[in-house]
Amino acid sequence: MQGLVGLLLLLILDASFSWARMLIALFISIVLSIAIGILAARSKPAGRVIIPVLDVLQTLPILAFFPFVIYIVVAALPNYIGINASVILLITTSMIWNIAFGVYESVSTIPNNLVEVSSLYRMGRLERLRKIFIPACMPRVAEQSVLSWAIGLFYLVTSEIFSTGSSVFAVKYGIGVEIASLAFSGNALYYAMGIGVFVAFVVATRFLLFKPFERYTSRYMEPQQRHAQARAAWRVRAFSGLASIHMPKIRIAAHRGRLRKAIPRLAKRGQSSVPYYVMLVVAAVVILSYIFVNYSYLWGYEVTAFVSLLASFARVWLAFGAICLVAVPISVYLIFISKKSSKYVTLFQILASIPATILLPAIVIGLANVPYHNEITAFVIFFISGVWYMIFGMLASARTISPEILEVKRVLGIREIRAWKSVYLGALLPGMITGGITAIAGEWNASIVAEYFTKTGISGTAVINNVYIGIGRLLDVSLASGNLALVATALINMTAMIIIVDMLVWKRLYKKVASIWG
Amino acid sequence: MHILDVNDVSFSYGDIGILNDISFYADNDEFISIIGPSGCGKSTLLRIIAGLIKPSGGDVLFMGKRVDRPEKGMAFVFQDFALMPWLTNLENVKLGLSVTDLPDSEKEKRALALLKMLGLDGFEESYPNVLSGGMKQRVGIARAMASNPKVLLMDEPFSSLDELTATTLRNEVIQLLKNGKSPISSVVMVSHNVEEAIELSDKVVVLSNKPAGVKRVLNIKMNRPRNRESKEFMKMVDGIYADLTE
Repeated sequence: MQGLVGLLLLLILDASFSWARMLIALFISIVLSIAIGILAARSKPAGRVIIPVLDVLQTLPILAFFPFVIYIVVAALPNYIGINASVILLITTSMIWNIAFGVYESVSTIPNNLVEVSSLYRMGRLERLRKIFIPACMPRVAEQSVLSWAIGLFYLVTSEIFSTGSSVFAVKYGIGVEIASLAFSGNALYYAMGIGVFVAFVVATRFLLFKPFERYTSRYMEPQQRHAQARAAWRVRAFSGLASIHMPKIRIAAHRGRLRKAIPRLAKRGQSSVPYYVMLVVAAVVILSYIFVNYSYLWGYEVTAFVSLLASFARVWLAFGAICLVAVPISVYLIFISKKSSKYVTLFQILASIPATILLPAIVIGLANVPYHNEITAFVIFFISGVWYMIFGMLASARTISPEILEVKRVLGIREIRAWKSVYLGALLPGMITGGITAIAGEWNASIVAEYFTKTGISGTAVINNVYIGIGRLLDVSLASGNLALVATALINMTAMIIIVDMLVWKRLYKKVASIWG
Repeated sequence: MHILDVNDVSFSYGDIGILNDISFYADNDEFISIIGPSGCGKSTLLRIIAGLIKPSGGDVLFMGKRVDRPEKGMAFVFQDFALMPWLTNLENVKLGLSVTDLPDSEKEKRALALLKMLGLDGFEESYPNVLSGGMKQRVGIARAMASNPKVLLMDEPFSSLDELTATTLRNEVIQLLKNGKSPISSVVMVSHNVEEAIELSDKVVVLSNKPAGVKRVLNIKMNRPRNRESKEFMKMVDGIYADLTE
């Protein structure tokens, strides 16, 4: 008994340290995001550079930044401070992007007449910031912070303990390290206590930090939103608790469009952009052949990276198929059928905030004796890392569905089976796309833990889970061995793939849907 | 027997009373308008009649039968059209035949005929997003008429349209309803536009505010088409405005 109380206190201490790191990272992320987002929105040339860069950075697995960060930070600072600083920095790099996008979007959609007012009253720069731009972006900052917090928790666990080359770094107190070592101790009760403390902190954060934060930042929006007559009641009832964890990233897809448009823009109007694409390809071929001829080992890296990428691609999309099979019926049920959806949504929000990384040790141990356990573990992690994005993407987009559309279903007596085709799936398609984009991104981000997992630093450096081939595994192994050229090759391949899929799949789908849905 | 009876219908939203003992009826061949101050609960009343919302008290009878869910014999036209953006105009109209057991080819034939009747031929295969507001509402009306309803419920059907389009569509709708060929025998329309109500209706139900009750039921016997400039018309308009602003 005494042991349990002691463990509980230790876990609370661990969680407090971890949460302190998270809060510092969130604060830094918000401050930087406001600066970057406002700059990108108010200055066109800056925006043209910032937006595509943010876009690429947020799709990359954050752990890839590890070696660079560690070399710089740990080397520059004394040991204890250095480790904590690099953990905070790493969490910041996972939190910042979508807050920055939120700021950018809300500042660029400020009605122009408000900006005109500021000119009429000759407001200075600082005053404009204080009176217009910052208040305008705060509701989105609050909204996005919830999402960033969830992403941060995912990386918290893996960033509190890491190794590069032969050195292992670990923080002294951290809930992530603690839960992992409890899992490997084999004591299910201890592990469950660890998860329990973690969830308690998550729930407390939601109610004590984010709810008041959201309420405060959107206080001036209240009257409009409350303009709910009886007919809008279902929407109010169903989604008052939803608070849109995941705002559609679809605008981002539109920004990616800019990246692409930037190329044809070089061409004069009316001219085909084909020659420019050809030039681009030729230039790429020339540069690559120069590199491969002079550094021939890089060609081997490229082949390895490409094959690894294909293997991971298959895993990610297979898991995505499973995600759709599960997430679509659940979302349809929550949005259109269930009368208690707000309760389920709260439950899902809590479940969703338990990061896959914290469940990983238990999954690995649980599946250890199953055939193909390495692939199954990877599949489960990919699934968990993407499924919530899909569900919350659809729930968020459901807020834009007109309540009249459901009334149509009832007035016309459309039966359930038919309603799937003519009402539900149609209404949810935009959400499926936004959810799909984020789910796939979430899966790619998780590849680094899904495909390769060691218990480094907990009890030696034994490899626990390890798929035969995959880009996440490649990144892990090359990071651990300090082969930065291979890390870079893998990252470039992955980035290229993400951009290509984005252009060929998501952008097209989105364009088609946007043109019909209007 | 009246085709539609609204008996002492009340509705409250939490502690807030919205509708208070509302009663009126609709006979065959009657066009009824419900008019009242904005936000007084007109749309809620229409949704209760449609069986979409349950009243807190009282009941609605359709051909003598109590309404507690949407009825086959009643159709609804929405203020903002409520077309499914992901279905073509033809498919949207065919949705109106969901309750029937007609074979698909027959549904299609009827939907095409309705689209043609409302002047939408050529737009069968396009999506609602290419249509103007007036055309969208025509699709909405076609969908409502598809199932040959006896009662048509319209929730401010012209208020999302510009005045010119609204005038044209109003004329068409009244012709469609009063030409003797339509199966629709009664219309209940919610409106906040006094002139529109008087122009179209045989009976105007004027509601008071907060909670809404029936202030007056006004029978209008003027011949159609009605001239908005006539003395009789203007007197009626003034009378209702006086009721509403009291």
